[in-house]
Amino acid sequence: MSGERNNPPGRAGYQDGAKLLPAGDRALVVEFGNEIDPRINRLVRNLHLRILEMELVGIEELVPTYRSLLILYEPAIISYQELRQLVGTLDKNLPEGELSPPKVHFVPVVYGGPYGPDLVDVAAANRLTQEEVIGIHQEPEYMIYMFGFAPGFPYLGGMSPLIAAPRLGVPRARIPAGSVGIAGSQTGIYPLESPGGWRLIGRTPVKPYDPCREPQVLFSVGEYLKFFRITGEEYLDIKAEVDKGCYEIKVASLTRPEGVLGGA
Amino acid sequence: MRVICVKEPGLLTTVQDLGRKGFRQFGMPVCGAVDANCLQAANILAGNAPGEAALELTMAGPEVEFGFSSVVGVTGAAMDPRINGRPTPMWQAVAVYPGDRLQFGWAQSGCRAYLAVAGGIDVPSVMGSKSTYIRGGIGGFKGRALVKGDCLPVGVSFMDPEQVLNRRIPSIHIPKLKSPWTLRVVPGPQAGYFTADGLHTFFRITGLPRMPTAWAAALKARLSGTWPAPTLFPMRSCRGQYRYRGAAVPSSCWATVTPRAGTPR
Repeated sequence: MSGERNNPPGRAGYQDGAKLLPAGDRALVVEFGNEIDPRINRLVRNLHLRILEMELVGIEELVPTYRSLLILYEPAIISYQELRQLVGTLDKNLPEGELSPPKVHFVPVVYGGPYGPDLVDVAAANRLTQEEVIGIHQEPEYMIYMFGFAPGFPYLGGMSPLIAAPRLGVPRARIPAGSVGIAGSQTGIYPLESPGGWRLIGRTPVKPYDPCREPQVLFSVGEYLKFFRITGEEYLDIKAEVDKGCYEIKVASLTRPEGVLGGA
Repeated sequence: MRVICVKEPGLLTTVQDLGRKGFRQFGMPVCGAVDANCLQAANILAGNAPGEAALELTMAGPEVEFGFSSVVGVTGAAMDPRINGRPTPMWQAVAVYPGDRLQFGWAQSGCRAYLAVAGGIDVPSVMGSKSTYIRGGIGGFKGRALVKGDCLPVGVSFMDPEQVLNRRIPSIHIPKLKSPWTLRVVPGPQAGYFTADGLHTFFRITGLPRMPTAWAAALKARLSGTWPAPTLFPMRSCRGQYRYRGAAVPSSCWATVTPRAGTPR
């Protein structure tokens, strides 16, 4: 299988290609590497698209992550061995190539104050002013590697280590929907009110997830987010528009080459 | 009126079907019945499609009143179902009439029971499913567990009640709820993060019959894994996975597990 292969150029992470690992008796994990790396994530998305194109019966769901693809299958229709063999063959012939040009969504954020109660701590921990943290946070285009934790919660790559901050020792029991947080070297948005331990630096009035809307989740894996600063008044104005269903999030195409991490 | 009204809600009674599939890549949990087999059996008894929405009863069941004549199927945990105070059988179709009260007690064995009504619980489908997702506040009846006073609409059944009323689940298909249970475990994708000793301990300890709480406590200090927490990235969780947090105890994932977690499994 993939283990017999030599190390092809452009493969980050594993020397011998993807690892195929069972995840219970009806799921298979295809793991491409051990780092958060756009090249590894592109392999994940490539395999995701290839399997989608094949429209295989017996595949229930495909779930991409930073560095792996979870394949949920119905063992009564396709066996573990058949699936392993198929994925191994696909993996050998994965194009490094072109995915459609990614979108960048512009997400308004009001930083600090009651909207971002931990901005002070994040600044202090990194010996920066709050203004500097905001500047650094809204500078990059963040790639959406995966969703998880809650519906529409994006796991973003590309945050500057200059504003990294550890999780809270004790998670908050309730975090308002739209909160923008930092945990370690990751940043993300809480799409619905939930408990959580990320450091909150701001809040967005847009709803990444709304079950009563089509599409329910605004963004897709492989797209990018860019945060831009708004005032508290603008927050309320945009929120009113969002609630009426008439706020259009600004979208553009990514201008810089993909695979280069911004802001780091 | 094609409704059933909740007189007593029970401990945790929700509308569930087979779950909200296809949205895991957006971080959406599947939800749905914890015991999909029993849900389907209950629906078959009531003359419904196997994946129709029904009530999932947890630990202690509700008391409901029927506003119309119908056929119901009760499966899963034994919660002493009674109609107007008289014991009524599980695992077979049962007729109910307007004003009838179906009441349940505490589970004497098992944990979850299913109550299917001919026509199904008629709640709106959200993202392709009628399952309740409590934390997300969507699906089921108003996105929450049932409370006293709720009146649930019931769909129209096209089956002939006379035919449906003959239905019963053959005893070989009724799960035997007796302990100890044997749980079969497939080593997880990150089993390699644990030492051989740690895994051995897991299987040895969990190989002994014990109560779930004692079982968790017993593992707390003894599962000696090496898990490089800082280099562990979120991976996808699926139902039935055992996860292990550094200072905590292994826990098994259930229906509402959100599709990611940074804990080895």
